Amino acid sequence: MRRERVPLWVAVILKSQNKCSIVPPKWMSLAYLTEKHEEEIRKPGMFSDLPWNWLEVSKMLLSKASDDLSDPSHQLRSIIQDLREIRLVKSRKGLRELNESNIQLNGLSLMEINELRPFVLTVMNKLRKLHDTKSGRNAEAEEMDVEDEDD
Amino acid sequence: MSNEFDIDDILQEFDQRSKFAPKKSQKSARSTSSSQTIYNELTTAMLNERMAPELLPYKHELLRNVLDQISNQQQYLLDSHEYGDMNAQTGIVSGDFKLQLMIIETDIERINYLVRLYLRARLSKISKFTIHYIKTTVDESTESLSESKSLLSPEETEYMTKHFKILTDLYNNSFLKKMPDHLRLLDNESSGENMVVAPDVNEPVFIKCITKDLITVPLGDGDELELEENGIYVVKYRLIQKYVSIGDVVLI
Repeated sequence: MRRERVPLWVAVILKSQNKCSIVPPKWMSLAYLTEKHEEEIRKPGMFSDLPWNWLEVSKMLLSKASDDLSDPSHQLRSIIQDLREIRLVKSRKGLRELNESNIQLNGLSLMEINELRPFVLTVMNKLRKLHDTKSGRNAEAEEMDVEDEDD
Repeated sequence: MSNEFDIDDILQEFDQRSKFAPKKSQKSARSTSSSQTIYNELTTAMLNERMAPELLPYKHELLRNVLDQISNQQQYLLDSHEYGDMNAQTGIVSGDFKLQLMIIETDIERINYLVRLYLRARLSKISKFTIHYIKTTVDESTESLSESKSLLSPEETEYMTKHFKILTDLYNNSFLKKMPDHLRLLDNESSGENMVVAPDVNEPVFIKCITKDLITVPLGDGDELELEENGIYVVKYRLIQKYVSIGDVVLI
């Protein structure tokens, strides 16, 4: 047996042909994820640090290579679900802060951002339009004027 | 070409060849690492293009590179299939050989997908803002920029002019010819209202900051926003436009 670093998609192909077993990443363990879950509860104001693609990668590993994981897959699934839910609640709460100019979304992963994207963009565009009509009648002012003010 | 691959061979072959390295590897050293960068560059280019409200400059060099590599790989695949067919009866072609070809095929598909997304995102913007880009590229061609710096690829320019022609023909034939003369223009600006739809650079976009240097973006009214490394923000596209073009900020 030899360890090789290959892209995930290659690993999944090889795995489906029974030609390899996948070494799961460090964070894909019950202990690590439980700890993160507790951290999420401890710090209601921020997101814990998870890999950029954790939802996608964990889903792929659970469906394609569940026998290579270090912990039983049903437990992993349930802790991932818990983690996902608590983060979702936090990000929904964070939407209160939406304004027409800018927001910061540190700590969110790609999938979570994509879930928020349609809502955030529509709301910000609407707020922007309201703001523009309020702050300047003429188009030039609208070009120059970028105020940071909650509507 | 050996007929009996085991898994290590497949992996090795894969490392050396599959990603992007040319078939008759001109430099075998530029295998994994450089192909990885091309792949990442393509992904970034695609995402930026998809998320930006305006058309970004066409990545001439990158796309030429990628398309070259794809056709190399396809030629290799073709040759190998021929080889496989020829030796299919004799039984010396193993399943692993097929698996190897399958991986290369999948790889080509993946790159193809990215290229398609990239080009489609561009075409949809060109169709949406045809008149605007016809105007801007006219300025560009009179300045006679070298081809490698132009906003559109030659194919896209052709698409744009054709699209414009079809569109104006349709408008003219179906209703504009029955209108009074002064209402026939598609880009009349005399009334004060601009008829040409231009990309809205004030649209908010999702960005990720990837440079170590702290970027400070003015928000107007003396407010500023500091972009930290790996930070994720939603800001108006206009404010980070120049950082996207130098690559300090990527759109997500």
